[in-house]
Amino acid sequence: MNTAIAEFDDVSFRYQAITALDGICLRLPAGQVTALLGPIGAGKTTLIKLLLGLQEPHSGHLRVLSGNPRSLAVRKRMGAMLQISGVPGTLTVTELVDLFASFYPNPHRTTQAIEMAQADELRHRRFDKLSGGERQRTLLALALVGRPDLLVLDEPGNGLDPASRHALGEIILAQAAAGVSIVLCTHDLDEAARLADQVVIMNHGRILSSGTPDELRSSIPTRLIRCRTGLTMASLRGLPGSRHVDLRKDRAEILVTDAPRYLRALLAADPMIDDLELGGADLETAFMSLVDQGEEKAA
Amino acid sequence: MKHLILIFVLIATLAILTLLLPTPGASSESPPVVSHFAIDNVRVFDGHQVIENATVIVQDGQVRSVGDNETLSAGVERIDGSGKTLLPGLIDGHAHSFGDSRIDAARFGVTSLLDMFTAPEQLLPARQQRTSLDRSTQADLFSAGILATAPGGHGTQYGLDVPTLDQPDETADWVAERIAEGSDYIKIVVEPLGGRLPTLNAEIVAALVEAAHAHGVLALAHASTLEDATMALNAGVDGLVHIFQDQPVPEAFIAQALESGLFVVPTTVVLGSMLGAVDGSTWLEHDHLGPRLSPVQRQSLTQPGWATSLGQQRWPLVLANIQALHQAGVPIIAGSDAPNPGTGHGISVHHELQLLVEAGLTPIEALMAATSVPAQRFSLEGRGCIKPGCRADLLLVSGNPIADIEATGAIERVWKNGQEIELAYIAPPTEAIGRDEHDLLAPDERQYWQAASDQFMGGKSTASMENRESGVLVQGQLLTGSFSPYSGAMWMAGSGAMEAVDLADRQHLSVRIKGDGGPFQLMIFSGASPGAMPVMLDLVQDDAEYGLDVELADLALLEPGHFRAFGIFATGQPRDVEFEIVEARLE
Amino acid sequence: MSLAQSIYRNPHWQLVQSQWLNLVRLPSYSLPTLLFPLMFYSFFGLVMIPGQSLWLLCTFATFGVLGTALFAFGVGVASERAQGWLLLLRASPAPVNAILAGKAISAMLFAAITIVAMSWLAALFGDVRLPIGAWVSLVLVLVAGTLPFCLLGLAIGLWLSPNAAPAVINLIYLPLGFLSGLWIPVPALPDALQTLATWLPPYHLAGLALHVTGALPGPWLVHLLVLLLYTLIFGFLAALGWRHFTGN
Repeated sequence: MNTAIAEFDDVSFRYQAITALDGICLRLPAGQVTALLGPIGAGKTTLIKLLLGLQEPHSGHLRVLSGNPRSLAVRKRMGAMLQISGVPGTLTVTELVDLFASFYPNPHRTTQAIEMAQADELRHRRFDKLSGGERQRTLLALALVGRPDLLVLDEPGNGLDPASRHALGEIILAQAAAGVSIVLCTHDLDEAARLADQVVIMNHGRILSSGTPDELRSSIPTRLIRCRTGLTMASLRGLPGSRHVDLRKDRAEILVTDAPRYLRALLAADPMIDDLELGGADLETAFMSLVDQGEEKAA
Repeated sequence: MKHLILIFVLIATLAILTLLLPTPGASSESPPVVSHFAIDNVRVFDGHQVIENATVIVQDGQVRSVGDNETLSAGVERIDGSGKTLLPGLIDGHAHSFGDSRIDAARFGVTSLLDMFTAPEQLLPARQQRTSLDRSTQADLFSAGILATAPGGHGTQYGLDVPTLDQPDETADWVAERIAEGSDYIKIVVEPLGGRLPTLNAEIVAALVEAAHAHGVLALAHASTLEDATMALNAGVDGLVHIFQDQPVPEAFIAQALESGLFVVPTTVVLGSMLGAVDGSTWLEHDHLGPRLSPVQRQSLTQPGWATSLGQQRWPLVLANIQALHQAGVPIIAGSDAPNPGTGHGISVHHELQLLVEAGLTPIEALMAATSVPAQRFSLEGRGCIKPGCRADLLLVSGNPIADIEATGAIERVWKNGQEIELAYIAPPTEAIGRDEHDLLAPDERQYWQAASDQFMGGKSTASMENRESGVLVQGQLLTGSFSPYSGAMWMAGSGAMEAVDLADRQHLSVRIKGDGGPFQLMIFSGASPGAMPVMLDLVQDDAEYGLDVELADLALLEPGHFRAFGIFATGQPRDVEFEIVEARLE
Repeated sequence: MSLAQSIYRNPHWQLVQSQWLNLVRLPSYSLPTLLFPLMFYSFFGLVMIPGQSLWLLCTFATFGVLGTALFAFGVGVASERAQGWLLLLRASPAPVNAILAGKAISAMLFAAITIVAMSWLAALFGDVRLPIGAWVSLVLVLVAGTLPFCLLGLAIGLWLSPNAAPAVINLIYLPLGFLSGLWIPVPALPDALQTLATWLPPYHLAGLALHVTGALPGPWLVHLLVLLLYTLIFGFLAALGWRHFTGN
């Protein structure tokens, strides 16, 4: 578990004036599922492009599978599922998988790869006749067929219904269990928490924090409490585990890391509380609080 | 895996389909006419030498073998060549191809024409045709296309649209245009005509030669005087397409010509005709060949030259200069310059051969000048030779032209691409008139009348026409301005202008007009060529009327099988013209 | 493993096959590219201008080659780039050269179909007869002549969006065909256009075709050198486009 499948050492990348990655230092341990978590524009996709050798860092060092990701030897050990809208639509799933199999030295059999991606019934269908979920499964088969040591998945659950997302998660876990290192890029907090051994949270090209899902749960406000209360802003903030409070007249929205603890304290402080709702925080909101914290720290 | 196989099958199919594409030897549509025969016991002139008593085998458009009597499978035609001589199809080293020229040439054993100026539209199709070994009744054409001349210079007077040259820097583009049009070589005119014509200067000529050579084609020059020929030689031309005849060829010229490898196409026959020393019209009386001449050949052969006293002085120089060049070793090529006055396509190559012998070539040398020499100088592969692999363009004559050059005219059979061609002139078939109205002034016939005047020929006379119930009224003015002014109206036999129709079922033409102040003429246009001379008859006066009744059969020069039109014209002195055609019947 | 299997599992072969299938299974591409030149040739080369069937075979086959290359590459690359397919291929260990070679070979195969079919039209209905060497040379010259236009198409496909690419290619394809004398022989064009034609690459490819068939022997070395020069120029533009696309 000590070997790293990828190491980023102070890696930066810019698109003209925009800094997409800003001094990233990151170590991805082998044999684990690492989730890259962050809102759109956080730099996840750029990080993946560097990981796959599609771009070269403007500064810093990057080693993947003990080599340069731009080398053919390294790329032959990786499989990727990118956010793309299509492949030549006239090819059948089998033809596409056959094509990708030919790129790798020791690929899975085509049928096997298709089976792993749970796409058996699609085998002889043309890509342009497939639904969104079917397309994602085909792309997953393309990523798996090369028997990769490192599997890179960029938003694999995009556009899928809950059942398909669940099935996809199972496939990812099965691959992980088979010893494949996985980098999973997502903006779905629950998905990250469910599948990953390690979660890396990014925004604005920087890593905000990383850790196990449990560690993160205590640091990231994952729950949103809505209520009507007579408490002041200061009292609401003073209760344990609050991360961000929004108070308009008597309506409060409070982001918290540990909902039960906060609720106990809240009920104790204001027995008259009304219209209480507890929900999951959306990622944007959660990150906002992280960013606030970062800025507060800087200040 | 199946796509792997499919794509390889596709590639193989494409390769096979490419290899199966029809080649000049084989036609995919009509099975090739069998061209497989042998000529036995024949004297062969193979382009260089004579082989006595040989058997020549022809197969699929090419000569297969020349040698001893060979056993062939049954069914292959064997032709007895005893007492006969087989010559390669002749090459005319200077001709101008128009209309049916190439058919006329082939009927006289001339199977390749080196054209020295013609309308460029025919060049690209001709290029395609001459690579083929398919049946053909025409001589193959090689051509200079448009000639290079100065604005208003020699060559611009024939009515072809000739792009002319003014500056040396225009030459590269000009030559590139010729090559693009399909010219095989470049002909350059240096003809000041004693200072009366604008002509190209030495600088432009040199630039043209350079441009032609850059394209890998020959540059040839038309020059009539030693001075102009020398200028062309200095410019580096590969050949002269006439012999100059203003003065004897000097030693220095010969030395330079030998050094530069110059060849000369003297065109003795046309010079002799122009100078009045040679009469092409005698061929019309030739027992054997006269009846085979087409109307077009007859017409050009009988056109007169100049016949001046100066000409009579120059003629000996023509022969002497040919002899001098030839004896020094300058290659001579036979060329007729047909269809200029006194010459006809095909026939005049035989005439030229005789004149070359007169100038001092041996008959074999004369024959080489119409076969192997032009084939070599113009890179005409497989032509001018009778050897295995040569194109089977063959001319079988009775007698021995090696002993007597006139025997080339004793043409017995001609083969083009190994297939025999018809030697007689066959007028192109025409359709019957298809209208049965005998009264040509009947309402249905009025549309076939039109006013006509010498403006058509560049004259100034005018004519207009008005349909009246009583007849066709013609008004106009007869004005001097052309050689023979006329003003009147014409009736067209065909539905197109001057289109020929078969009028063999009509015997009698009668016309009557009302008018005063003759003379009036009836002109009847007929013949295979639209340019043939009309039959001209004066109308006979009877008080205020003029008229004529003619039996068509009585008119010797009329060809009822190719009747084109007749016209009634006021001719003679300039005057105002007004007459009414009141009767016109064709019965 | 049999030879066929080892060929089949070769990535170069697989890329040729996938590009090829993508062309043939897309009738909206394959039919017009195949049929337009054949139709044009039938109309102009066989029906309307008789007697010039060999000349026009050379020029219309060049026209077909031009269209095949420009559309296969220009439109194909533009849409595959926009879809992300090229990105996915670049992320895989697929040999980059083979991606482009696969496209070029498919385009050439397509071009070969057009040329051979047009040659048969010319032979059957235009009475064109050529020595076998000339037929083979015609096919080979034009197939090889696809290359510069593939590179031009590639450059266009790498720079333009999939919506703009077909429009721009039509804007290039049709005028380039006309101005290079592929519809109306160059000698029949007005003088100014004749001069212009000599600057255009299809003119020189047609020139080579006319040369090898003997329809118009010409300065073949000049044609060849000009085409090589254009191949370099288009190759350079394509390389710039590739840098633009990969951001490297």
